[in-house]
Amino acid sequence: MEILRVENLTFSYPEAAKPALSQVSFSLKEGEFAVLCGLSGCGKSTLLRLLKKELAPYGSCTGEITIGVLSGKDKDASMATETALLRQNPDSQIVTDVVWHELAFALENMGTPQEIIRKRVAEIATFFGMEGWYHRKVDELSGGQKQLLNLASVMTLAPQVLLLDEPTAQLDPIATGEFIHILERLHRELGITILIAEHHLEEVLPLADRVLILEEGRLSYDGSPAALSDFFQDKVEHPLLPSLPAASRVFRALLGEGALPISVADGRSFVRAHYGQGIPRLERTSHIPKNEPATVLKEIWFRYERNAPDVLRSAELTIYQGERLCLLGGNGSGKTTLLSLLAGIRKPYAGSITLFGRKLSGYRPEERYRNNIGYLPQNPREAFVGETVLEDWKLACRAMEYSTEEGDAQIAAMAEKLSLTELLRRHPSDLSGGELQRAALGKVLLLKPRLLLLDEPTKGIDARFKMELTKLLKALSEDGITVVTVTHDVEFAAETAERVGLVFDGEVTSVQETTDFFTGNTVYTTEAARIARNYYEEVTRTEELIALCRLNGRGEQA
Amino acid sequence: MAYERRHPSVLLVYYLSVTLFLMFTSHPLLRLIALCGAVLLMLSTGERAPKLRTVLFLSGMVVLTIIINPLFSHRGATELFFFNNRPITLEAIMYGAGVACLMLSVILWFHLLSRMLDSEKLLTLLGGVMPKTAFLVSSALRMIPFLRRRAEAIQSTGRSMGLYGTESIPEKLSGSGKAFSALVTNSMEHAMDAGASMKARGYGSHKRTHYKRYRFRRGDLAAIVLILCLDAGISVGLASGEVWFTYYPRLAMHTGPMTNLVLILYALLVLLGPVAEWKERLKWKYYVSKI
Repeated sequence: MEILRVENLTFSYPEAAKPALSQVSFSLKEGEFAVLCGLSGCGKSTLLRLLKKELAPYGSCTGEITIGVLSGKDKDASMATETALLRQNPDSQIVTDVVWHELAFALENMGTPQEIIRKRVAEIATFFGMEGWYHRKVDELSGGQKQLLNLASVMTLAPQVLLLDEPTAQLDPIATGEFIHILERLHRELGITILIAEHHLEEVLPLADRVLILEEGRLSYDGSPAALSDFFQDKVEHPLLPSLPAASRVFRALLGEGALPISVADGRSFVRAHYGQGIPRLERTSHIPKNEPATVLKEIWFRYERNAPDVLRSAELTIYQGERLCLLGGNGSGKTTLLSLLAGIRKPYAGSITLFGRKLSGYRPEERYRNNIGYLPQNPREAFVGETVLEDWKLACRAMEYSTEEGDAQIAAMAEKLSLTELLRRHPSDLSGGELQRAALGKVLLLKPRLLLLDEPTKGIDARFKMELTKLLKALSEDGITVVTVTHDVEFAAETAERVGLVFDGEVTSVQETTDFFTGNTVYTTEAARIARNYYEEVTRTEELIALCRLNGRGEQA
Repeated sequence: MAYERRHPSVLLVYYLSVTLFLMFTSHPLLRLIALCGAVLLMLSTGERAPKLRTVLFLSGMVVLTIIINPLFSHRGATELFFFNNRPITLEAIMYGAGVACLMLSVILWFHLLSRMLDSEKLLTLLGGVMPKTAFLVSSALRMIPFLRRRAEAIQSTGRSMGLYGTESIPEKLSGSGKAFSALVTNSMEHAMDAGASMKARGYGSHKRTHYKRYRFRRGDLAAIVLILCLDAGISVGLASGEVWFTYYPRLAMHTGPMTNLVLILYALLVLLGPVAEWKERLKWKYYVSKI
């Protein structure tokens, strides 16, 4: 039974040159799990918002949207209860201060009597496993918990259609896994219709019944996940290819036939069925020579408050000039704290940090951030204090004490390098995730740092931008800039880093060269490594796997 | 703790009764009873020993009050000694002591009130009467820690990007100004998102109810009735005009059945809190000992 139908939907934002959506038509059956893919800016968010009446953007809209009504008792309220939209930023959707109040909020709005609220809230909290943190204050929750709270809160209204706009973009892998797992349960046990826009395709594609691909506002694919192989058949360099799971990319690069493998297990069967084992590993490039140390951390101890537990316990780390280092670690492991210590934003209560041979505490504040350290925070929005990007970039120029002409020249060159020239006069809040990231990076780079510290630069960014970022960081390190990235994106680390370290139990354990680091691990490693395990050796990147398969050629299963 | 399970209206009535009688009568014995009651209640709810700073501050306040009053007020018949050619009278000292006792009691009782009537209980009280205001309070309570973190983040990031550049004061001020305006912009955007989120969940479509976490039970009604009865008794006693204490010109107190009644009833009222706590504790010790 059809529950959602969109016919010839065309939408333009006011004063926009092109329409954001053109002639989009599709329909969803009750209980379907549909994944909406597309690059940043293709119109996914716009489409999802248009499907939710209360959040629909202002603009000129033609076409029809019909969403099945259960019992048309109260037309206005029924819209609120039929569809629910969950967005990227967990914080922006919470309005009360305590978890139980947030759960009760929607039902309170409906004027539901006390007893029913009590029952529904208890039911939802139990289903979501929230009994442990039911009484907590909202600001004490982690990002993953907040997003679960948002989902639980909209579920109290029992919507029939659940719309999700990149809900896991800001979450770490564990929280992402948990969230998708709950979605799966909701889908399987309650038969809810789900339409989710996602970049983490390896998590959601295995669960999907339908895939919709939006390209520049047009629907270019509407079918099953397996048939995606036909879609990508003749498209050699499609911009969406990097977003696909590793198994699919390998299949595609090797021109496989048949259904598209999506999960790691699919990938393993595909590789083992079609490629021999004659050549087990690729030749390694020579080891990277070590330069002078850029920053040395010796026996660092840090805690946030006098009576709080230690976050870092006798942590040590040496970072060499011109290298690209990635620090991985779970949620709350202390990696962001470590980065803020490296940046001089916080001070350890014991231990020493030296930067370029001098003690970090010996640097005067203005000296520290001019030509020395550049720090990019987790939320790039925090880097901006002005009304336009240009204003903030000018602030950076002033800190560097450039003259006006010199400053303008620097700004123009930087804007050119990062393709931001048209966006310089925009307000930071009007930029998309990727654009904001680049703008913040531009501001930091204007300070000509020799040590660049990036905190989770890949949050909410699609695969294409990730590749651009990797290229940029590689270019920077070739110029002699030391790049330290803190991330939980294992794939990004595998592509970008020369050395990888794991922050665990208050220390930095096992800093090794990238390949050594990942091939040693069984779980905390890239998809390609997991596909190749026990078949090929020392594989971490998808390209390496593809190259090995090609070298071995088609052969019988060993 | 016993008070956690009581409906907030009970707590409110209790506190109002104790503090209103305390503030509107000037009988020192009443104040002493209130003071002892506060200490007993603090002990019974297992409050940790106060910080040294707090103890010093409070004692300092008490001592200061007792000293200052006789220095400025020279009324009273019993002269103890002379200071600066002016008499320091016993009555003035006693008056100072009385005021100090009052201040200390009020401080302790309000401290206890703030501990026991937390934001959730307050919302329950408001919610029944003014659900929209209750929601506003709840939203504000959410925003405060959230914005505090944002402010911190903006400041520390700004520092690392040359916001507070040099050490000069005008630079620092302009930097702080920019950071503050960035925070305001941030919070306004957040407010827009929050508003959209509220609308998406049906805010404004119906008349709002308020989800009460605390249910009003029979025990709560009994407690309120008990408190109101004691209040009535005390009021009757006070209204009779036979309960008074004067400091000047001589210390004098009226003793009689009414005074005794008022003092005893007030003591009972004040002791309701600690007794309830200790009763709970004994009850639980007994239950647990049977496991």
